[in-house]
Amino acid sequence: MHQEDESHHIVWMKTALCLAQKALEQQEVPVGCLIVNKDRIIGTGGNEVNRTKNATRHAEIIAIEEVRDLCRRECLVERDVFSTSILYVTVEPCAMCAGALRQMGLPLVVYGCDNDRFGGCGSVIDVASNPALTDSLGPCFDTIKGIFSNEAVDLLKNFYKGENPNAPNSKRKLKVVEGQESNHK
Amino acid sequence: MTAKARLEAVLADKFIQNVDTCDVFIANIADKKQTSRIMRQLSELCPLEKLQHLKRIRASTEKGMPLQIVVHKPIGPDSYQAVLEIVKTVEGLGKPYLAKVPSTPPLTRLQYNEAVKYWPVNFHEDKEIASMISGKYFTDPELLEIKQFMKMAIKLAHAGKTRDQIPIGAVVVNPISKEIIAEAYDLRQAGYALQHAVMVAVDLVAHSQGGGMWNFDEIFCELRHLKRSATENTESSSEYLCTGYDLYVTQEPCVMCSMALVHSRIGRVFYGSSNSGGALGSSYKVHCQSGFNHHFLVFKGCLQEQTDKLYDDS
Repeated sequence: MHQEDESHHIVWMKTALCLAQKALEQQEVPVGCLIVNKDRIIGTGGNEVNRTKNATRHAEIIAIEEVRDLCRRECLVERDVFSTSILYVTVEPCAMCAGALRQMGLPLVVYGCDNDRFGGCGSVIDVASNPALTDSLGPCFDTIKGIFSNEAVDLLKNFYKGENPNAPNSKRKLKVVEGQESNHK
Repeated sequence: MTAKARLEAVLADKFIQNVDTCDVFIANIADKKQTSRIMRQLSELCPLEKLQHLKRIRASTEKGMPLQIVVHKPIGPDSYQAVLEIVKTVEGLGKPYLAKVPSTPPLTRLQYNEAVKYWPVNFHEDKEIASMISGKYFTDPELLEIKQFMKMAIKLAHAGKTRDQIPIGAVVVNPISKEIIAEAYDLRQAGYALQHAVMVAVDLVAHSQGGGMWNFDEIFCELRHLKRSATENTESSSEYLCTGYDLYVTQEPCVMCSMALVHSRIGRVFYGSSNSGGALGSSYKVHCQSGFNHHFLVFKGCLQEQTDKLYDDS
C-alpha cells in the first residue's frame, strides 16, 4: 500500500466513524460506511435495522442504494461507478454484505475492526475472497483492515452496554407480561 | 408421497461426517477379578478427559483372550515411557500397546455403528436428529401443508417469469397461525442486483410490521404482504423480524440471502432445487455455521421435480 493511499484511507475512515457515532445517537447499531469514488463521497450509510424493521438494512446496503440513486440522478453507469470505488466501513462487513458487495462489483473494502459475530471477510466465513462464488456473486474483493479498529470497537461496546430497544423481550419478561395481561389495556 | 420421499434435512457436517480416530495406549487385564480395582486406579491416574465417550474396557473379540483397557492417550514421542511408568504402578496390567479409537462421540446411529468397529462407545441418540435422518420428522398432514406452501412459491416463480424475472419464488408463513406473511419473487432483472427473492420477501415481512424499505413497482402486482390494522399492529408488537416464521423458496438461497435469514431470525427454511452458489447446504451451511448467533432448520428437495423444471434451461 502506498503511503499516500494509507493517509487517504485514514481520512475516509474518520468520516466513517462519525457516521457510526450518528447511528449510535439514533439507537441503531453504530456502524458507519461510505463509498468513495475518485476522492468524492458518493454514498453513506448507517445501520437502519430498527427503524425499518428489516434486518438487512446494514450500513453497507444503505450506502450502495445511495450510490444507485446518485447514478440515476447523474446518468452514470452503475457498474462502472461501483467497479472504480472503495467502500469504507468501521466494522468488517457481515457475510450478507460481503455477498452484496461482490454482486455490486466493488473491488476494495477498507474496514476497522473484525466482526466476530457475523464477519464475512474471514472472521466467521470468507465470502469476500471465496473463488467458488465467482459464478454466482461476481469477482472477489480485496480488503484492508485495522484502521481505527479500537475506536470502532468502543462504539459497539457503548451500544451493547445499553439495550437494543427492538430486540425481543426475554422469556422471563414475557411471562410477567402474560401474567399481568388483565391489568394491561 | 413424493414430497415425503424427497424432503431432506440439511444437517451440520458433524452429523454426517465419517468417524475420526486417534491412537491410544491400551493394555490387557490378565485376571478378570482385578478389573474393578484397576478401573478405579486408572481413572485416578489417567482420566479419559476428552475421550469420555469411550467405554474404558472391552472384552477382546477373540474367545479366551483377556479384557482390554484404555490406559492413556499418547501425548508426545516420550509417551510410551510415561505410560509404561503408569502401567508399572497398577498391578495386573500387561504391556501397553497402541490401538485406534473413535476420537469424538458418535451423534447418529450410523456413526455409532462405525465407531464400535474400533472400540465400544457410549451413545445417546438425539431423537430429533434421528427422525430427520430417517425422514419421519414430519407427519403426513404436515407434509401436505409444506407441499401447499411450496406450490405457492412455485406459482410466484412463474409469475416472476412472466414479468421477465429470474423464476425464483418465495413465501413466508407463520406456521402457528398459518397466515401468509409475504409472497415474493426475484426482481434482479428489474435493475437492482440485490433484489433476490429472499431479500424481497424479508422486506415484505418488514412492510407487514409497519416498516420496510423498498417500494415495489405496481407491475409486480403478485408481490404481497400481510396487512394488519393499526390496532392489530400495536397488539402484535411481539413480532420481531422473521422470528418463528417459515420460508418456502424454490431455489437454495445464496450466501447474502442466507445471512439475511440469520439476521432476520427465520424459524425454518424449505427449498426445492439446490444451487452450486447456495449457502444452505451447497457452498456453505450458514444455518448451522458455528459462530453465527442464530441457527435454523433447513429442508431441501421440496417438490424438487417441479422446481428443477424452473431451472432446466439455465
